[in-house]
Amino acid sequence: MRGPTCFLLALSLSACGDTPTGATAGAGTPSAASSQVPQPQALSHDFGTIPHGEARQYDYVFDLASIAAPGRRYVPLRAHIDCSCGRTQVLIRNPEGYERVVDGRPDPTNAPEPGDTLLVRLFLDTKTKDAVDLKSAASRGYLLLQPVGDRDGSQRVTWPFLVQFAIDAPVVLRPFAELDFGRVPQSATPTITTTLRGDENHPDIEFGAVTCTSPDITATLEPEQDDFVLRARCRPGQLGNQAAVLQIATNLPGGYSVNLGVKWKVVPDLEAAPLPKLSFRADLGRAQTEAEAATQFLLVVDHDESRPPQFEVRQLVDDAGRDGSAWFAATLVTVPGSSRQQRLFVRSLGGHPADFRGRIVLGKPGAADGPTLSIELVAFHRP
Amino acid sequence: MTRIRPLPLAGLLFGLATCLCTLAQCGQPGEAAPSAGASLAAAQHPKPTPAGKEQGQEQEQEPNPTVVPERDQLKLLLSGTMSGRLEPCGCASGQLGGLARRMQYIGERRYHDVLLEGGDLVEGNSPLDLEKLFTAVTILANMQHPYDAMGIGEKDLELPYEQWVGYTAGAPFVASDLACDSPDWPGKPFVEKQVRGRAVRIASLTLALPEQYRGEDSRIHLLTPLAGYERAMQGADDDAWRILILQGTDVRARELVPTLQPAPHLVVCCDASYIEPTSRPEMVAGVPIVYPGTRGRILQECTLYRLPKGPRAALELVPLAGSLTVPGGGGDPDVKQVLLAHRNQVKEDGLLQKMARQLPTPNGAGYVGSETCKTCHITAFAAWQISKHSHAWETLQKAEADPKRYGWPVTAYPDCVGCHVVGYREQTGFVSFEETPQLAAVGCERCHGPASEHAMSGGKKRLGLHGGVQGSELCLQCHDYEQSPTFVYGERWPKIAHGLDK
Repeated sequence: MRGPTCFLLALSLSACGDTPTGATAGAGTPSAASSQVPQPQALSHDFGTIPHGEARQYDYVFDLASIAAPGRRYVPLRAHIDCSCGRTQVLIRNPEGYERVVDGRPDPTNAPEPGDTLLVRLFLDTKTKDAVDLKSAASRGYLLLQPVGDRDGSQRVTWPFLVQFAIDAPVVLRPFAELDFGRVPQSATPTITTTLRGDENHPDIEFGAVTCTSPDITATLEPEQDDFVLRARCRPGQLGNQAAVLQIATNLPGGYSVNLGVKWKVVPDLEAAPLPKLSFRADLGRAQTEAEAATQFLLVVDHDESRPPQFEVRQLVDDAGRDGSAWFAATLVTVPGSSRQQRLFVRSLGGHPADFRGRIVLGKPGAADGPTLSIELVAFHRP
Repeated sequence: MTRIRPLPLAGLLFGLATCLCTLAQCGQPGEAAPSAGASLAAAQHPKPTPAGKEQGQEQEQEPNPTVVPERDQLKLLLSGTMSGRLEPCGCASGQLGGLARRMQYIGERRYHDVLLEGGDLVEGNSPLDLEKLFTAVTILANMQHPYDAMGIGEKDLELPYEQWVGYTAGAPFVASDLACDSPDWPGKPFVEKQVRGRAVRIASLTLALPEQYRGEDSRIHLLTPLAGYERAMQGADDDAWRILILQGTDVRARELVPTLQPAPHLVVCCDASYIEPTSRPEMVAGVPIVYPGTRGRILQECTLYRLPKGPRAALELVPLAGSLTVPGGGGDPDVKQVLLAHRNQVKEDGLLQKMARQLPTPNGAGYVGSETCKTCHITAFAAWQISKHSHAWETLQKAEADPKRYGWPVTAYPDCVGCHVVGYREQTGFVSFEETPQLAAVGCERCHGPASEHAMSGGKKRLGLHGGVQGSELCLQCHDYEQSPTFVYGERWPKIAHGLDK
């Protein structure tokens, strides 16, 4: 790195510290450092281009003698790297080559002794990134040091370092290198399609078996013109957020497989939005007008398109199981322009001058033993 | 400013649900962690790092979870101060974090016993911060996987009291060292839940109050840390897990922890200078202290073990990365809807305009626009015109128009606009594109400050850099580690270098 650039870079990085703009700096943060605090120049390393799927490691060596005034010792606290696939470890290596991990305490026993070497070991694992090319880019990092005897951390030194690398994925995935099915109702079996082919350096790549870490995702890979088409199908199982990794074997050396992250969220076919709960405040001693009850609704939907979209009210009961239909009217109205969605309105009919807790059970017309949707009903009596 | 704003319908329903629900505690104790089915990043993530070592001792091996009885293990998911980062702004690739990805991760895993959020959900006291607070509480406390405890930071308390209380009612906020006479005060001395037959008691120490609460007649009083901790642990089973969330610095934590009785089993220190969580706990007086970082970019998985020699913690970091090929992909779809509603609500409420021109300019002068600067600084203006800074507003407009990238009104969102215009929030600064088109884009005065007096004096009243800071510091106001992860001042400056004309 050349002079002025290096200076500006160091200035930039040291100014950045680990207290970003807008974030609150606690006492003893680098930004609170006084003008006597050294501002060392950045160390840098360029990994060049890393094939996707491979890991790399590099040791940055920090020469404390270059920043320390005579007699001053520094304790390394921690290191940070702004890169999602990078990890750092702070180490002290003694003259015999034994290394010990620094645990972050500003304790003099954690300061390197004369003859020791202070290292930040950087690990990069490209497997954690999508299998796509990444142009060469610099990521910033720093090592945080605290002088022995600095009781409040106000003399901490931020020593910047840079890592530059690019990632070369042997395959081109278009349009997706990760699959996100979003919300998947239990009755649905959505499919996502993406294409694969070798990049310019691997035009003859061959793809093998497609496997998935979840039985809920099945996939096929078929040649189509110059590409291979991957069709992934989701057959939802357990409710809630789900994730899996789809692996496609290749004939590349080292057993490289193309990994695609898959995410989806299984939701019930019968849903109430935003929550299966409706609560409101009203004078429950008298009947509400339609206008007064206009905001007392929630949306219900049946995602299963093999069934008609309509619901019917099966029950309106209190917590003790007593019929509440004399006190409340529950009506369903189809949402204009959205035939599968209906609004469930609840209106007080009066005669219940006390708080009410119960539930409304919806079912499908003509399907007495079919699925039901239970909605909690809470009405507060406010005369 | 004391009126609680009308909530949208969804908000009303969530809000009412919050009031009515007892605190639904989450976590499914005893359920095994899925061996597969993890996210791509997480599935290939290294094993948790070993616990920290005691002073003067050699590195300890990580406790073997198959040997330690399940009852003596506790799985926590920790996040530090959110600082208003509901989701990555999207202006750079590779940004980490966001509530949608976080809740997806929590939903996928299903094995956490305790979900803890540090505190300082917001980082200011603007109307936008209030909107963010409402959205964050909706997601963290009321949706599918509600948090067990959330600390209260000093910044949270800077919000207007009535609105803050209205938005946080029913959420599991803990403030053991804050006392308030008001019946609607949401800060509990502790929260407790049962995990595999053992109580988990969670305390939180805020340690400081903002200026408005420091007087004698303040409605909120700060107890000493020891009194606050004692209050939180009063009546707890001897056998209970004791977890302490601590707002404040690492230095403060190291001083305080040895004085706490009974000793906590874990201290979660929300020191904002730790922008990334630590991968190893620090042991102080036999207590593991962990630092969960800021902005929720990287989550901290913590397995706490109760061993004969004391508590030990094993940590694993989970960077919440997005996909390079699926815009907005990977997050919980329902949380994404709530976030989208938040963005639209900000636009509907006109917060961009409401928050404009609320602050004084640093040098007391007014903004005039780059065209005025051009009169004398012809060369510099020409250099600026061909730079990306001159197109900063168009960049925002294009991003907004591209549904694959955003799908929400970027040009109406104050956080985004602030970095793409001149003088937003300051007197005479940007209000809207229609009202102040001369200040749309990153013009001369964004870096050099308001130039009215400079122009009126024929240049005799000199300008420097806005706020009198270093050039590199100024750039980092927008090009920070999150919004411009590859920004290096020395490399970028030549791209906008414009010399001196006069």
